[in-house]
Amino acid sequence: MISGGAVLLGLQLPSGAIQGDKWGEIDTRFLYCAVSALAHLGALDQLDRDRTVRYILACHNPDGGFGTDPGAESHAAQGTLLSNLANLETAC
Amino acid sequence: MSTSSAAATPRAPPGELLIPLHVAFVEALDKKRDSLAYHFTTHLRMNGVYWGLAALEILGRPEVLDRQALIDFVFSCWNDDTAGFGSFPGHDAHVHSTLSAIQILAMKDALDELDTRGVRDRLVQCKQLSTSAGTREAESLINRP
Repeated sequence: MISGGAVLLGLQLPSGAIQGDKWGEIDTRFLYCAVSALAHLGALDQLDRDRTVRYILACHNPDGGFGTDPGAESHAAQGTLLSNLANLETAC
Repeated sequence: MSTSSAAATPRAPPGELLIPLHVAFVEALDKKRDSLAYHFTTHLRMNGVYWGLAALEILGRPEVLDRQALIDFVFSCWNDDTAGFGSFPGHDAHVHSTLSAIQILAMKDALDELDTRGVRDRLVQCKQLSTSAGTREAESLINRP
């Protein structure tokens, strides 16, 4: 398993996705949680901005919404990703 | 069978926000520890505390939940193995409960407690986890608020 991993930056995968915990579920809601938490801690500069933004945009659908993963159907909860994009725009 | 017209007719919605009732509802949530539902929802406790506190802040009654008790609860959920906050003491850390923990501390102007207790750097450090996908299906069922 793991030892000493961190729950925020340590959960980001090479794709840019952020998993919820050590068990590996992936959902853009978790990406929102991590970016928001890092913003509270003043640590957004430690996040790989390009990789994260690229992943968020990969979850953007032709209907204008965002899904839980690239290709997943749009859901209102994933609209929170827009605040992530706003955060990342101003912080990095 | 007789039914009273009062029972059949929906009551008109209140004309104003019933703040004392809402406050009492939130305050009572943490006092149901002998109910099965309380223990079946421990995986959402940190989130629930955040939701309750946010509601009380909006209602103008944040003092209803004791500040030090909130801070103590948050840190009782710190999981040192995974360097994050779980939703309940002894639970694995999760990014959702970690966000709620940080939001609770921020609302109570207590983010410096992360430094005092020496966990801030551990929270954000970049150490890649090795993962197990074994419970991904089960997690997707239980982890939605």
